Amino acid sequence: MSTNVLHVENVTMQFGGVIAVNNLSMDINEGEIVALIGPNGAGKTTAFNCITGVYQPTNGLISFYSAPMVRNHPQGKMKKTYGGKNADMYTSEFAAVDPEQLLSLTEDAKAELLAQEKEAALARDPHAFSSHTLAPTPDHITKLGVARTFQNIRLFPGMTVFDNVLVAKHMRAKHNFLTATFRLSRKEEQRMRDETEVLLKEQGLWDVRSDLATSLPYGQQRRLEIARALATDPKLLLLDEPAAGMNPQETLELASFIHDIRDKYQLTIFLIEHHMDLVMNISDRIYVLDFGSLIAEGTPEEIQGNQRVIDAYLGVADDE
Amino acid sequence: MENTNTKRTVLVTTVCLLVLFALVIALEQMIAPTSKWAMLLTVIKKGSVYALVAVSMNLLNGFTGLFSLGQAGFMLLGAYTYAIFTIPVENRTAVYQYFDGGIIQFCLPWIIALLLAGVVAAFFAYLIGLPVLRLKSDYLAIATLGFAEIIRAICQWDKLGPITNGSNVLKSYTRFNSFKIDLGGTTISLATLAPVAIAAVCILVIVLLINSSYGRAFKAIRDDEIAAEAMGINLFKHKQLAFCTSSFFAGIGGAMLAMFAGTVQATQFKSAMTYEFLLIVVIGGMGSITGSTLASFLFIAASEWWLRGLDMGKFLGIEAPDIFRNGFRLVVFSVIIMIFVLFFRKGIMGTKELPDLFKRRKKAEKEAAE
Amino acid sequence: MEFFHTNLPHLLSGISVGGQYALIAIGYTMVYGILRLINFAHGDVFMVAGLMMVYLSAALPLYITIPLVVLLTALLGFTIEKVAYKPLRNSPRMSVMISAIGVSYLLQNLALYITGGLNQNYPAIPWISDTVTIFGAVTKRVTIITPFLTIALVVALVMFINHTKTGMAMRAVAKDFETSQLMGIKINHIISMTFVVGSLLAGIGSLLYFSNYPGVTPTVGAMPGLKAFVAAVFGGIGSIPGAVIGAFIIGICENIIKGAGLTTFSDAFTFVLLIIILVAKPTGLFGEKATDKV
Repeated sequence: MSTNVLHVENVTMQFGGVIAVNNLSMDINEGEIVALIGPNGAGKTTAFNCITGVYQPTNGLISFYSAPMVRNHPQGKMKKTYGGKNADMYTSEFAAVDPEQLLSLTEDAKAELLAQEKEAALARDPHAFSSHTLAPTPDHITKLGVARTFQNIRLFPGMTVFDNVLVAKHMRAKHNFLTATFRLSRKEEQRMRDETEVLLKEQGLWDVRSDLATSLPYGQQRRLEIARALATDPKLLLLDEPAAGMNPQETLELASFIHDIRDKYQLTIFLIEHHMDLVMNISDRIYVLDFGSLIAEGTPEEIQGNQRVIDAYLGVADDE
Repeated sequence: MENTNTKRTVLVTTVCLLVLFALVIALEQMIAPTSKWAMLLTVIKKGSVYALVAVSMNLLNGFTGLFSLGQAGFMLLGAYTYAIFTIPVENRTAVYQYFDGGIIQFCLPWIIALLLAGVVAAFFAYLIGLPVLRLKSDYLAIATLGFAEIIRAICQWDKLGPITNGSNVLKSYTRFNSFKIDLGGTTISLATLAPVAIAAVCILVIVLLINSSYGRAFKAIRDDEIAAEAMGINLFKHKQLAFCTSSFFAGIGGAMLAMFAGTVQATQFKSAMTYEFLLIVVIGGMGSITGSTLASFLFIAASEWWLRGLDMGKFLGIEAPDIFRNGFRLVVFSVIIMIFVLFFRKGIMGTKELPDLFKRRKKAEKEAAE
Repeated sequence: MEFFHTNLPHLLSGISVGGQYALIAIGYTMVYGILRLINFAHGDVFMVAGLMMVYLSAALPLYITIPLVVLLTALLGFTIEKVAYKPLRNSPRMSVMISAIGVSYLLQNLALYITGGLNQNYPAIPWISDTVTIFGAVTKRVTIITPFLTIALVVALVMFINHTKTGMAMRAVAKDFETSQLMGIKINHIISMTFVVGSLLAGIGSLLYFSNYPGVTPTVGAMPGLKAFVAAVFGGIGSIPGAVIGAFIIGICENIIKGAGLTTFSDAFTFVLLIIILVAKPTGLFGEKATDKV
């Protein structure tokens, strides 16, 4: 079995009374390309934001290479207003077991199952049953090796293409405020520039390096955003609708591009996408969200034949 | 190629600075204190001080996207720190006449006191930054503005008199006018060179910072905080760095203002002063060091020299004492500033710097040659 | 009882000052709620209202001057918004705040020019400037009236916002600028209304404030402005009841500190309060947490 890269366990994100992501659990293994799909407003981007630290999930655990990265459980006032599932699963001894399944078991089997689950949860996260929260800021998560792009491209508009990528190298540079200011770390700066040059050349953006990032055509902006994400030396790359606004030809190119960067940089890729051709073409596995809850997971073939997915996308007639 | 380029930049910068310094010394020798051009020297001195503070503010507002209104407060800290530590011991009884000569009975060399001025300002900035920089940047504006107002009140508190001299002035410390060298009998005054040189060195450091990896991180934060964070830039740490650096130089600027004026009193450092710097930055162009420097000299030249007549009853040969009376200059100023804010939002320079202008010309020449 | 007696005058004037701050704070909080703009010029609008009273009362009888001043203040707020903020509606927020500072600078300098920097004596308004004795404490009648008037005005304002169409539009705009525009709300009209209401209250606040204090100087608006803003932050910016409660708390604490002989720190207190609230509960007493969409 290959190494687990991202482990998402019972993640719920609640805004006031709205539950945007409800009890999402998923696993992504090294080298996989996994897609998260679902109708508009299903909570896909919210899930991304929970993984990258933009939002702190209301409940759940997210581990990266088996090390707990984000953890939170409803506390204080939230305990009363919490509307998601499994409110008390980490704080009580009831572990992640479907309550209905629990009912059908005998007392002994129940106790055994619970003990197993509890042990497994503790093995994954020694703090699993405490109220110990982990809420790193997005930069910490990026530093661990999770990079992302944004649904509505977020480049640095006042900076050149070159600087847009170069700034992503800042995080891992071996210099400090004074050595950088007084040019005592020239070699480090040169190394960063060289690496940026290589990246830009690979992405075919070298010729436009001194243009302002926002002056590029749309397709190139998307590429630049991916280049910038790659510059942070990620192990896991999250792409939020990379094909949005692209024509069929560009989308086709994107598919092979994603495969290429996965192989070249030994990445694991997790993407949100609406272009079903692309998703079915490149994904190893697919997760489907609807109204914040996971409704299906499987290979592209399995998902294509799944009735719940078809219903979610096409809607179910009311008169049934 | 990269390497020769850096060497050339260093060379050009050094030559430019030396030429500038030589010019300033020459100018100082040529202009007699009584001539009508003497005002030029004042403009250069005060303009240098303003340029440094404006650039330090631009580092924050124009390059990091943080809206701080504490400049006057940090300058006050710098000015007081400098003055308190450089008053010669023998003069202390006279200065602190109501406080038995004060409690500090030693005197530091001016350069140490100048650096200390920056450090004290940066330290206070650090303290304010701790709670405030984690929040939306709006709160920074109000917290720094509040801080500036409060620190002014506290400096005048008579219980602190033995240190700050209460609401009385601090004076008879080392000033720009005391900078001179003896060259075999002839004394060459460096009163103008000193502020120009200090400001030039400080601005150079800020320019180096802005063009470094950290400067790029600051710009990334200005452009898009969420994307910057996703690129692994720790927002709080970098904002704190920018804020403390900016305040450090504002503190030095305050000390320089003290050296220029010869006296320090807390009432000088009102929020209107911060507003002036902010408006200089806007006129020069947010995100342009050249612009801030240029605008500072223009602002000082206009307010101390060219537009003086607006306050004195006679302007451009028109005599109208009823209109051109005390305060009219500032009204004209405010109107000019509002025109900039509303109609020339990019200011004089936009985000361009001096070298950009040369580059463009070169490019144009090249294209013409082809 | 002893404590009560020594502190009663401070408590009374604290409540009164709190009411005056509240009237200014509403202007800040409403404008911030709708435009996300710290209207740095608001404190100066308050100062200008004071000056207008000084100059107009010299020429006109009080029963004309008082309503006229309040109306002119509202007009001033309206004009500032139209001239200095509206053209920048689509610019970065920092530009608008800089514009606000420019207006503040302009108003202060104009006032300096007109008054010559001298303290202008505020006219005594009959009846409300009279001295009264309450529980043995001697004070001006305005001190007693202010809190009641403030509360009456706030109740009227809250009714206006909760029960009229314009009020509903204001709430909608504060919640979501763009969507409310799509729903056919005339944004510009609502923003103007906000400035008019805010300035109107600042005008009334200035009447009450200056009746209590010796006079008007060009920079007199800065401190009450700052304190009112802190009050607005304290109560949760965007919330009117929050701003009012915050203002009363600041006014009372400040005067009690003054009463204890620590006048220098009465201003510093406001700042400390701001820092405390920003650390402990940045959304203020009644503020809502806003989540930025990514």
